[in-house]
Amino acid sequence: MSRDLRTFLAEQSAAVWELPRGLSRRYELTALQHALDARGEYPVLLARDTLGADGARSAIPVVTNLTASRVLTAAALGLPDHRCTAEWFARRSAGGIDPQVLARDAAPVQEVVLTGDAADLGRIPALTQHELEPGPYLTAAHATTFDPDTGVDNTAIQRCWLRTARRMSWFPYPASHNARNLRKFHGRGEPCPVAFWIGHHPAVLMGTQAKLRYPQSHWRAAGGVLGEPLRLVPSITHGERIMVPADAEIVIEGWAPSGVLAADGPFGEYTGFLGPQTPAPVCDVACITMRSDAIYHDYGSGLTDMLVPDNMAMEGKLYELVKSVAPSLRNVHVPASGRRFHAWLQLAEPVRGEARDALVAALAYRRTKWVVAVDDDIDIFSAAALDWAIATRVQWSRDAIVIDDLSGSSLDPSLPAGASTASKMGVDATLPPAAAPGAPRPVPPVTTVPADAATRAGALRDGADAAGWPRF
Amino acid sequence: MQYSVHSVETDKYAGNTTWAACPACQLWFPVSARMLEPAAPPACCPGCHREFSVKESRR
Repeated sequence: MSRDLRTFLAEQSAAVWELPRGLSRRYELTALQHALDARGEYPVLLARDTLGADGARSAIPVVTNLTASRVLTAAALGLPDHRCTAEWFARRSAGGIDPQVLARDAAPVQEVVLTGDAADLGRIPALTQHELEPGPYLTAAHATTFDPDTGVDNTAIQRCWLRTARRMSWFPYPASHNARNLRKFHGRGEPCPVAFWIGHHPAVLMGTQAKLRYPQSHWRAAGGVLGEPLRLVPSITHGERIMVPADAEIVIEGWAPSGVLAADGPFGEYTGFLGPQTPAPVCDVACITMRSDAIYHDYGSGLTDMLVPDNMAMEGKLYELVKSVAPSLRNVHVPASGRRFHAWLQLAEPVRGEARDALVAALAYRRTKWVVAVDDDIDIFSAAALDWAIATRVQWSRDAIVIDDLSGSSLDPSLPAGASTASKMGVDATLPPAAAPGAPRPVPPVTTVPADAATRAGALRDGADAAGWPRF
Repeated sequence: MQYSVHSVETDKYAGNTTWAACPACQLWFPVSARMLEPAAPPACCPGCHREFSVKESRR
């Protein structure tokens, strides 16, 4: 059986919190995600009979917080340890597995086909997540377009505001490959064909977030991450020009007309700030397809739910970029606390200059803003260990590199008005290498206790009476 | 010195956000610089959905 959202939910049923019925999709579910994030708790949330802004119930259940946990998201990839993602993701997404094309009558996502007035966006239980957002948004819609020059498709998560029954605005970030495809169609005065698919196994969601070249299809990468061919089916409206995952939950197909822009937003972004209202293309809906018992997937925008999978995919991209210039690279961590801006690189005995090469390579990636390189005695998944390395191994005038005018994210709230580039910093927090193999590094030794004493101390603590344990 | 400075405009205190206020319900919300360009669509109040020109609103 092919893996999809529902096989994942069944496998991980112990991680799912089925919520009381009747929760509101306007703020209430998102407020719960904020509360859970603040507590460091990351269950998958399953909500049935949710209420829209008008109080109407939806028969389509909502799943959110699907990927808020790094541990659970790694498990979805088949990884026993979430700290092993970078190299694995780089290898699996680059290797890829060719997709498999199904006939339409074999595609679960086309069990229900709605056209004309029946293709009503009001059927979809989208959430209004944050104050000042103008209405319900699709937050886990994977927009698929294609390059009209080559026919090669592209997929990316891009938000959509459900404005009316048959029209939504859609915000492909200007630097995105979908925006490039859109501009090509509109440059010819043609509407851009597009399909948005929602809901799949987390490995597919992550595989389609692999950061690829242009034009390059994401279907092979998704199969590589999933570990089996991704099953595709021709879309109803666009046929084989736009294929969609056959095991998705919902697909919205339509056209983005040339010369039509609408004000979109404000919208809660990954930065934790609201992105401003801005002109965006629209999509006129031609067709909605779904499973007969469809589940709607929502990402909590700006919450760990969205940051975790995206950052884990970023770790793979940075691993690939940096490894090509710094062979001593061992691991990469993009912490959710730094949104998408911070990256920690772990190097094993880098040669002179190699740490700085690694920093410059990582800073060249548009999303990064601060990159720190450390030795392999530092756990890059421990904020305390990183803080110790930075505190004790860095002289700023020697070890910090600030580079201005690199490509960055226009959503960075710290950028000056109108800036299209960012100021970035790399920090070499590695120790100097030993003068000769086997010799000590030319720095003081780290404090240690003998291994047998550490073992006895651990046993002593483990055996202590919990009832009488001191409070502090 | 190992670092380069500074071609980026660094006036931290100027901020970077343009605000518009809905002429109907007075709700303030952030708008991008592109909303000030001649070809921009009308702004849409996220509260009452009234459409209006950003240039005519307070900011």
